[in-house]
Amino acid sequence: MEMAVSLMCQFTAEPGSIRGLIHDAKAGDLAAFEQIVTRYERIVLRIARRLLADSELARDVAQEVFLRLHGKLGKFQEGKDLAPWLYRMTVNLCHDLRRRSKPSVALDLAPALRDAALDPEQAMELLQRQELVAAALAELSPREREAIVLRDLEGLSTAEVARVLRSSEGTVRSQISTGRVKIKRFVMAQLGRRR
Amino acid sequence: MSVHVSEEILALYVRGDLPEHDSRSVARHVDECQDCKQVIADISFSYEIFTNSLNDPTAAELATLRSAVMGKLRADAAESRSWVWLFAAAASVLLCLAALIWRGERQELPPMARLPRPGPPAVMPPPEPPIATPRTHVTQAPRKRIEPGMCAATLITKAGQPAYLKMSTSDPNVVILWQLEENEKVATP
Repeated sequence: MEMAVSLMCQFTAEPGSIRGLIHDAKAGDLAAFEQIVTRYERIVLRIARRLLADSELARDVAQEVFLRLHGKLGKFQEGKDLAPWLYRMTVNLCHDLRRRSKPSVALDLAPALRDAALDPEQAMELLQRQELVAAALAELSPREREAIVLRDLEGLSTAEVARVLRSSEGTVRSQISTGRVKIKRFVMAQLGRRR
Repeated sequence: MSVHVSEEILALYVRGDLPEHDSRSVARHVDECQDCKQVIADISFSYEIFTNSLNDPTAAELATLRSAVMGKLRADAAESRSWVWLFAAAASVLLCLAALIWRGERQELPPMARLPRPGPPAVMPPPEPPIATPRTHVTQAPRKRIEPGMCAATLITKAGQPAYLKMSTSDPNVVILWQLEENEKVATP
Protein backbone atom coordinates (compact mmCIF):
# COMPACT_ATOMS: atom_id res chain seq x y z
CA MET A 1 0.00 0.00 0.00
CA GLU A 2 2.99 2.29 0.39
CA MET A 3 3.34 2.31 -3.36
CA ALA A 4 -0.31 3.23 -3.69
CA VAL A 5 0.06 6.15 -1.30
CA SER A 6 3.12 7.50 -3.09
CA LEU A 7 1.27 7.10 -6.37
CA MET A 8 -1.65 9.09 -5.06
CA CYS A 9 0.73 11.91 -4.20
CA GLN A 10 2.10 11.81 -7.74
CA PHE A 11 -1.41 12.13 -9.10
CA THR A 12 -2.16 15.32 -7.26
CA ALA A 13 1.18 17.10 -7.61
CA GLU A 14 4.16 16.15 -9.69
CA PRO A 15 7.55 17.45 -8.64
CA GLY A 16 9.32 20.08 -10.66
CA SER A 17 11.98 17.59 -11.71
CA ILE A 18 9.42 15.68 -13.78
CA ARG A 19 8.33 18.89 -15.47
CA GLY A 20 11.95 19.63 -16.26
CA LEU A 21 12.32 16.15 -17.72
CA ILE A 22 9.19 16.65 -19.80
CA HIS A 23 10.60 19.95 -21.04
CA ASP A 24 13.90 18.31 -22.01
CA ALA A 25 12.18 15.32 -23.59
CA LYS A 26 10.04 17.66 -25.69
CA ALA A 27 13.28 19.19 -26.98
CA GLY A 28 14.36 15.74 -28.19
CA ASP A 29 16.43 14.58 -25.21
CA LEU A 30 16.01 10.79 -25.20
CA ALA A 31 17.92 10.44 -21.91
CA ALA A 32 15.33 12.68 -20.23
CA PHE A 33 12.54 10.59 -21.71
CA GLU A 34 14.22 7.42 -20.42
CA GLN A 35 14.10 8.90 -16.93
CA ILE A 36 10.39 9.54 -17.34
CA VAL A 37 9.94 5.92 -18.43
CA THR A 38 11.94 4.73 -15.42
CA ARG A 39 9.75 6.75 -13.10
CA TYR A 40 6.40 5.52 -14.43
CA GLU A 41 7.14 2.06 -15.88
CA ARG A 42 6.24 0.19 -12.69
CA ILE A 43 2.84 1.86 -12.40
CA VAL A 44 1.94 1.41 -16.05
CA LEU A 45 3.05 -2.21 -16.25
CA ARG A 46 1.33 -3.10 -12.98
CA ILE A 47 -2.01 -1.63 -14.02
CA ALA A 48 -1.82 -3.30 -17.42
CA ARG A 49 -1.04 -6.67 -15.84
CA ARG A 50 -3.92 -6.41 -13.41
CA LEU A 51 -6.37 -5.36 -16.07
CA LEU A 52 -5.28 -7.87 -18.71
CA ALA A 53 -4.13 -10.78 -16.53
CA ASP A 54 -1.43 -11.52 -19.10
CA SER A 55 2.21 -10.49 -18.68
CA GLU A 56 3.07 -10.50 -22.38
CA LEU A 57 0.07 -8.43 -23.40
CA ALA A 58 0.63 -6.11 -20.46
CA ARG A 59 4.21 -5.47 -21.58
CA ASP A 60 3.02 -4.72 -25.11
CA VAL A 61 0.44 -2.29 -23.77
CA ALA A 62 2.96 -0.59 -21.48
CA GLN A 63 5.37 -0.22 -24.39
CA GLU A 64 2.63 1.28 -26.54
CA VAL A 65 1.69 3.70 -23.75
CA PHE A 66 5.23 5.09 -23.57
CA LEU A 67 5.63 5.25 -27.34
CA ARG A 68 2.38 7.20 -27.59
CA LEU A 69 3.52 9.45 -24.77
CA HIS A 70 6.69 10.21 -26.72
CA GLY A 71 4.69 10.88 -29.87
CA LYS A 72 2.36 13.29 -28.07
CA LEU A 73 4.98 15.10 -26.01
CA GLY A 74 4.89 18.05 -28.40
CA LYS A 75 1.23 18.65 -27.62
CA PHE A 76 1.58 17.95 -23.92
CA GLN A 77 1.16 21.04 -21.75
CA GLU A 78 4.09 21.24 -19.37
CA GLY A 79 1.97 22.48 -16.50
CA LYS A 80 -0.30 19.44 -16.58
CA ASP A 81 0.32 16.28 -14.59
CA LEU A 82 1.56 13.25 -16.44
CA ALA A 83 0.18 10.52 -14.19
CA PRO A 84 -3.54 10.95 -15.05
CA TRP A 85 -2.70 10.85 -18.75
CA LEU A 86 -0.68 7.64 -18.29
CA TYR A 87 -3.44 6.02 -16.23
CA ARG A 88 -6.06 6.91 -18.83
CA MET A 89 -3.95 5.75 -21.76
CA THR A 90 -3.13 2.45 -20.04
CA VAL A 91 -6.76 1.78 -19.14
CA ASN A 92 -7.98 2.69 -22.63
CA LEU A 93 -5.42 0.52 -24.41
CA CYS A 94 -6.22 -2.43 -22.13
CA HIS A 95 -9.92 -1.84 -22.73
CA ASP A 96 -9.42 -1.84 -26.52
CA LEU A 97 -7.24 -4.94 -26.37
CA ARG A 98 -9.75 -6.84 -24.26
CA ARG A 99 -12.56 -5.95 -26.64
CA ARG A 100 -10.57 -7.32 -29.57
CA SER A 101 -9.28 -10.48 -27.91
CA LYS A 102 -10.85 -13.30 -25.94
CA PRO A 103 -11.20 -12.70 -22.21
CA SER A 104 -8.42 -14.34 -20.25
CA VAL A 105 -8.71 -15.63 -16.73
CA ALA A 106 -5.32 -16.96 -15.80
CA LEU A 107 -2.83 -14.42 -14.52
CA ASP A 108 0.74 -15.06 -15.53
CA LEU A 109 2.44 -14.92 -12.15
CA ALA A 110 5.48 -17.09 -12.67
CA PRO A 111 8.03 -14.22 -12.88
CA ALA A 112 6.88 -12.81 -9.57
CA LEU A 113 7.17 -16.21 -7.92
CA ARG A 114 10.60 -16.85 -9.38
CA ASP A 115 11.98 -13.65 -7.88
CA ALA A 116 10.28 -13.98 -4.51
CA ALA A 117 12.43 -15.47 -1.81
CA LEU A 118 9.85 -17.95 -0.55
CA ASP A 119 9.98 -21.56 0.61
CA PRO A 120 7.91 -24.03 -1.43
CA GLU A 121 4.98 -23.98 0.99
CA GLN A 122 4.77 -20.19 1.01
CA ALA A 123 5.16 -20.08 -2.76
CA MET A 124 2.31 -22.55 -3.17
CA GLU A 125 0.09 -20.53 -0.89
CA LEU A 126 0.95 -17.30 -2.73
CA LEU A 127 0.27 -18.94 -6.05
CA GLN A 128 -3.10 -20.17 -4.87
CA ARG A 129 -3.99 -16.73 -3.58
CA GLN A 130 -2.90 -15.10 -6.79
CA GLU A 131 -4.92 -17.52 -8.84
CA LEU A 132 -7.85 -16.76 -6.60
CA VAL A 133 -7.43 -13.02 -7.12
CA ALA A 134 -7.05 -13.46 -10.86
CA ALA A 135 -10.22 -15.52 -10.98
CA ALA A 136 -12.01 -12.95 -8.81
CA LEU A 137 -10.96 -10.16 -11.17
CA ALA A 138 -12.28 -12.20 -14.07
CA GLU A 139 -15.69 -12.17 -12.40
CA LEU A 140 -15.91 -8.39 -12.81
CA SER A 141 -17.11 -6.46 -15.81
CA PRO A 142 -14.40 -4.44 -17.58
CA ARG A 143 -15.52 -1.16 -16.03
CA GLU A 144 -15.81 -2.69 -12.56
CA ARG A 145 -12.34 -4.17 -12.92
CA GLU A 146 -10.87 -0.83 -14.00
CA ALA A 147 -12.51 0.97 -11.08
CA ILE A 148 -11.40 -1.68 -8.56
CA VAL A 149 -7.82 -1.81 -9.87
CA LEU A 150 -7.45 1.95 -9.76
CA ARG A 151 -9.19 2.46 -6.42
CA ASP A 152 -8.23 -0.60 -4.37
CA LEU A 153 -4.96 -1.71 -5.93
CA GLU A 154 -3.49 1.62 -7.05
CA GLY A 155 -4.97 3.67 -4.22
CA LEU A 156 -6.49 6.50 -6.24
CA SER A 157 -9.40 8.40 -4.73
CA THR A 158 -12.90 8.01 -6.15
CA ALA A 159 -12.65 11.44 -7.75
CA GLU A 160 -9.33 10.57 -9.39
CA VAL A 161 -10.70 7.27 -10.69
CA ALA A 162 -13.66 9.16 -12.13
CA ARG A 163 -11.28 11.53 -13.91
CA VAL A 164 -9.23 8.67 -15.37
CA LEU A 165 -12.29 6.75 -16.53
CA ARG A 166 -14.02 9.95 -17.70
CA SER A 167 -17.03 9.07 -15.64
CA SER A 168 -18.98 10.52 -12.72
CA GLU A 169 -18.05 9.86 -9.11
CA GLY A 170 -21.46 8.31 -8.50
CA THR A 171 -20.97 5.82 -11.33
CA VAL A 172 -17.47 4.96 -10.13
CA ARG A 173 -18.72 4.49 -6.56
CA SER A 174 -21.39 2.12 -7.83
CA GLN A 175 -18.83 0.13 -9.86
CA ILE A 176 -16.48 -0.10 -6.88
CA SER A 177 -19.24 -1.21 -4.58
CA THR A 178 -20.51 -3.91 -6.95
CA GLY A 179 -16.96 -5.07 -7.65
CA ARG A 180 -16.07 -5.41 -3.97
CA VAL A 181 -19.20 -7.41 -3.27
CA LYS A 182 -18.51 -9.73 -6.20
CA ILE A 183 -14.94 -10.28 -5.04
CA LYS A 184 -16.05 -10.92 -1.49
CA ARG A 185 -18.64 -13.48 -2.61
CA PHE A 186 -16.15 -15.19 -4.92
CA VAL A 187 -13.39 -15.39 -2.31
CA MET A 188 -15.75 -16.60 0.38
CA ALA A 189 -17.13 -19.25 -1.94
CA GLN A 190 -13.68 -20.45 -2.91
CA LEU A 191 -12.44 -20.56 0.66
CA GLY A 192 -15.60 -22.27 1.98
CA ARG A 193 -16.56 -19.41 4.22
CA ARG A 194 -19.92 -18.77 2.66
CA ARG A 195 -22.08 -16.81 5.04
CA MET B 1 -32.40 -3.47 13.79
CA SER B 2 -34.86 -5.19 11.49
CA VAL B 3 -33.43 -3.60 8.34
CA HIS B 4 -29.79 -4.37 7.54
CA VAL B 5 -27.50 -2.19 5.52
CA SER B 6 -26.98 -3.57 2.01
CA GLU B 7 -23.70 -5.26 1.10
CA GLU B 8 -23.02 -2.62 -1.53
CA ILE B 9 -23.26 0.17 1.05
CA LEU B 10 -21.09 -1.78 3.50
CA ALA B 11 -18.54 -2.39 0.74
CA LEU B 12 -18.21 1.38 0.38
CA TYR B 13 -18.27 1.96 4.12
CA VAL B 14 -15.30 -0.41 4.73
CA ARG B 15 -12.91 1.76 2.69
CA GLY B 16 -14.37 5.13 3.60
CA ASP B 17 -16.02 5.75 0.23
CA LEU B 18 -19.34 6.88 1.67
CA PRO B 19 -20.21 10.53 2.22
CA GLU B 20 -19.65 11.66 5.81
CA HIS B 21 -23.32 11.78 6.76
CA ASP B 22 -24.08 8.28 5.38
CA SER B 23 -20.95 6.87 6.96
CA ARG B 24 -22.00 8.06 10.43
CA SER B 25 -25.43 6.49 10.17
CA VAL B 26 -23.96 3.17 8.91
CA ALA B 27 -21.47 3.19 11.79
CA ARG B 28 -24.30 3.62 14.30
CA HIS B 29 -26.11 0.64 12.77
CA VAL B 30 -23.04 -1.60 12.55
CA ASP B 31 -22.20 -1.00 16.22
CA GLU B 32 -25.40 -2.78 17.17
CA CYS B 33 -25.75 -5.33 14.32
CA GLN B 34 -23.72 -8.55 14.42
CA ASP B 35 -24.78 -9.62 10.90
CA CYS B 36 -23.50 -6.42 9.35
CA LYS B 37 -20.31 -6.73 11.40
CA GLN B 38 -19.79 -10.17 9.88
CA VAL B 39 -20.35 -8.85 6.35
CA ILE B 40 -17.79 -6.13 7.01
CA ALA B 41 -15.33 -8.74 8.33
CA ASP B 42 -15.77 -10.86 5.18
CA ILE B 43 -15.32 -7.88 2.89
CA SER B 44 -12.20 -6.85 4.78
CA PHE B 45 -10.80 -10.40 4.61
CA SER B 46 -11.36 -10.71 0.86
CA TYR B 47 -9.95 -7.22 0.40
CA GLU B 48 -6.78 -8.17 2.27
CA ILE B 49 -6.32 -11.28 0.14
CA PHE B 50 -7.05 -9.31 -2.97
CA THR B 51 -4.62 -6.46 -2.34
CA ASN B 52 -1.75 -8.45 -0.82
CA SER B 53 -1.56 -11.30 -3.30
CA LEU B 54 -0.52 -9.43 -6.41
CA ASN B 55 3.16 -8.67 -6.74
CA ASP B 56 4.72 -5.71 -8.42
CA PRO B 57 6.53 -6.26 -11.73
CA THR B 58 10.06 -7.50 -11.19
CA ALA B 59 13.18 -5.48 -11.96
CA ALA B 60 13.93 -7.74 -14.91
CA GLU B 61 10.46 -7.16 -16.40
CA LEU B 62 10.85 -3.40 -15.99
CA ALA B 63 14.29 -3.46 -17.59
CA THR B 64 12.92 -5.43 -20.54
CA LEU B 65 10.10 -2.94 -21.00
CA ARG B 66 12.43 0.07 -20.78
CA SER B 67 14.89 -1.45 -23.18
CA ALA B 68 12.14 -2.19 -25.71
CA VAL B 69 10.74 1.36 -25.52
CA MET B 70 14.09 3.13 -25.74
CA GLY B 71 15.36 0.78 -28.45
CA LYS B 72 12.35 1.57 -30.61
CA LEU B 73 12.70 5.32 -30.03
CA ARG B 74 16.43 5.29 -30.80
CA ALA B 75 15.84 3.32 -33.98
CA ASP B 76 13.16 5.79 -35.04
CA ALA B 77 15.46 8.72 -34.26
CA ALA B 78 18.30 7.19 -36.31
CA GLU B 79 15.93 6.59 -39.21
CA SER B 80 14.63 10.13 -39.13
CA ARG B 81 18.20 11.47 -38.98
CA SER B 82 19.13 9.51 -42.11
CA TRP B 83 16.07 10.95 -43.86
CA VAL B 84 17.13 14.46 -42.85
CA TRP B 85 20.59 13.89 -44.37
CA LEU B 86 19.03 12.53 -47.52
CA PHE B 87 16.74 15.53 -47.86
CA ALA B 88 19.60 17.91 -47.17
CA ALA B 89 21.75 16.29 -49.87
CA ALA B 90 18.91 16.37 -52.39
CA ALA B 91 18.16 20.01 -51.57
CA SER B 92 21.79 21.06 -52.01
CA VAL B 93 22.01 19.27 -55.38
CA LEU B 94 18.84 21.04 -56.54
CA LEU B 95 20.21 24.34 -55.30
CA CYS B 96 23.44 23.88 -57.27
CA LEU B 97 21.50 22.98 -60.41
CA ALA B 98 19.28 26.02 -60.05
CA ALA B 99 22.30 28.27 -59.56
CA LEU B 100 23.99 26.88 -62.70
CA ILE B 101 20.86 27.34 -64.81
CA TRP B 102 20.36 30.87 -63.52
CA ARG B 103 23.96 31.81 -64.23
CA GLY B 104 23.75 30.48 -67.80
CA GLU B 105 20.61 32.45 -68.52
CA ARG B 106 22.17 35.60 -67.10
CA GLN B 107 25.15 35.43 -69.46
CA GLU B 108 22.89 35.14 -72.54
CA LEU B 109 20.88 38.22 -71.73
CA PRO B 110 21.50 41.43 -73.86
CA PRO B 111 23.04 44.36 -72.01
CA MET B 112 19.84 46.39 -72.09
CA ALA B 113 17.99 43.61 -70.38
CA ARG B 114 20.17 44.04 -67.34
CA LEU B 115 19.37 47.72 -66.98
CA PRO B 116 17.37 48.43 -63.91
CA ARG B 117 13.74 48.94 -64.50
CA PRO B 118 12.73 52.59 -64.45
CA GLY B 119 10.99 53.63 -61.36
CA PRO B 120 7.48 54.95 -61.29
CA PRO B 121 6.98 58.44 -62.72
CA ALA B 122 7.48 61.21 -60.25
CA VAL B 123 4.24 62.59 -59.01
CA MET B 124 4.20 66.34 -59.14
CA PRO B 125 2.69 68.06 -56.19
CA PRO B 126 -0.51 69.94 -56.98
CA PRO B 127 0.01 73.64 -57.70
CA GLU B 128 -0.38 75.83 -54.72
CA PRO B 129 -3.27 78.24 -54.90
CA PRO B 130 -2.24 81.81 -55.66
CA ILE B 131 -1.86 84.01 -52.65
CA ALA B 132 -4.13 86.96 -52.85
CA THR B 133 -2.07 90.07 -52.53
CA PRO B 134 -3.18 93.67 -52.75
CA ARG B 135 -2.75 95.08 -56.18
CA THR B 136 0.12 97.51 -56.74
CA HIS B 137 0.81 99.55 -59.80
CA VAL B 138 4.18 98.60 -61.20
CA THR B 139 5.44 100.36 -64.28
CA GLN B 140 7.73 98.24 -66.32
CA ALA B 141 10.26 99.71 -68.72
CA PRO B 142 9.64 98.57 -72.26
CA ARG B 143 11.96 95.74 -73.25
CA LYS B 144 14.54 96.52 -75.88
CA ARG B 145 13.89 94.30 -78.81
CA ILE B 146 17.00 92.71 -80.22
CA GLU B 147 16.86 92.09 -83.93
CA PRO B 148 18.54 88.88 -85.05
CA GLY B 149 21.38 89.22 -87.48
CA MET B 150 25.04 90.07 -87.77
CA CYS B 151 26.08 93.60 -86.93
CA ALA B 152 29.81 93.78 -87.78
CA ALA B 153 32.73 91.65 -88.88
CA THR B 154 36.41 92.38 -88.30
CA LEU B 155 39.35 90.55 -89.81
CA ILE B 156 42.17 89.92 -87.34
CA THR B 157 45.53 89.04 -88.75
CA LYS B 158 48.86 88.54 -86.99
CA ALA B 159 52.15 87.59 -88.47
CA GLY B 160 52.83 83.88 -88.27
CA GLN B 161 49.32 83.13 -87.01
CA PRO B 162 46.18 82.17 -88.86
CA ALA B 163 43.72 84.96 -89.57
CA TYR B 164 40.49 85.27 -87.62
CA LEU B 165 37.22 86.77 -88.65
CA LYS B 166 35.51 88.26 -85.65
CA MET B 167 31.79 88.70 -86.16
CA SER B 168 29.66 90.48 -83.63
CA THR B 169 25.95 89.83 -83.60
CA SER B 170 22.95 91.79 -82.48
CA ASP B 171 23.22 89.93 -79.18
CA PRO B 172 26.22 91.42 -77.32
CA ASN B 173 26.77 88.06 -75.62
CA VAL B 174 27.34 86.23 -78.89
CA VAL B 175 30.60 86.78 -80.81
CA ILE B 176 31.69 84.46 -83.58
CA LEU B 177 35.35 83.85 -84.25
CA TRP B 178 36.06 82.18 -87.56
CA GLN B 179 39.56 80.80 -88.13
CA LEU B 180 40.45 81.12 -91.76
CA GLU B 181 42.51 78.72 -93.80
CA GLU B 182 45.79 80.00 -95.21
CA ASN B 183 44.49 80.15 -98.78
CA GLU B 184 41.04 81.39 -97.80
CA LYS B 185 40.17 84.94 -98.69
CA VAL B 186 37.55 87.03 -97.28
CA ALA B 187 35.41 89.01 -99.59
CA THR B 188 35.00 92.39 -98.12
CA PRO B 189 31.92 94.28 -98.93
